[in-house]
Amino acid sequence: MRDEKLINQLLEAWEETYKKGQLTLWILLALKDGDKYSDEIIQFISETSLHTMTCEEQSLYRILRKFEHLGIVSTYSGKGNKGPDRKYIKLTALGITLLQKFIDRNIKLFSQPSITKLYE
Amino acid sequence: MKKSTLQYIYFIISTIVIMSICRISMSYFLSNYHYTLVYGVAALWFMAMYIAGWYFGKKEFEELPLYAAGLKYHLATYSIFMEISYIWFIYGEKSKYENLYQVNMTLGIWGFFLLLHIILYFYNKPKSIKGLEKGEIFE
Repeated sequence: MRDEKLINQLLEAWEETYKKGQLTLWILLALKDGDKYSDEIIQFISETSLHTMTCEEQSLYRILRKFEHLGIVSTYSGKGNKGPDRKYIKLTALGITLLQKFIDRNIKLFSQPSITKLYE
Repeated sequence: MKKSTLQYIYFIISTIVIMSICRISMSYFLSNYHYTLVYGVAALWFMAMYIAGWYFGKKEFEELPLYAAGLKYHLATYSIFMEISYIWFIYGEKSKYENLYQVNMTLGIWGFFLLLHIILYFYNKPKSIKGLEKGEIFE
């Protein structure tokens, strides 16, 4: 019982640190899935991460402004599901290459058989 | 127009207004021998500029955290001070106790610190990508 409590505390602390650097990856993955407006990005992250990741609207806007400045994403106006036009966000060629290289260097290594066998 | 650019324009307008008021009132108080008020105006000028820079700079930083923003604001303040001072000395009603030497001296000393700021900017430039600090880009 005491161990379980400790494990949960440690897990929470570890996951908090682990998730800190993941938001960029989730946002870029959402955009690789297709052009989206901000609400759709938030929804994609929440659903695809099985609700383990959340993204505040303000944080998302702040990140997207930086990415647009750097040329990782671009925006355009498009029709929403209902109501007025929405600002859609899309990955630029630079953004696509950046994401792909990041995945190759940092994510795919977790798919190696020598690593996956350690999951069980 | 980008919100960050708008904040910068608001800052420039505020700076022109604050400096014009301070410049005129300083010469007026000097001409009328209100020396204590001259110090008061100088202190108020400093505080008003600090608050304007802090307020608009913070808003701009929240919009896009460009590390060069500080230098941009510093350059604008220096340029406006120089232009208003020279315009006032050439076309305005400066006090007989003021002369261009004092303005040039102020600009020289201030210019030295501005130069240090510019050197610091170029020193830190490699730590940034397109004006954003590397550590500030990804979350």
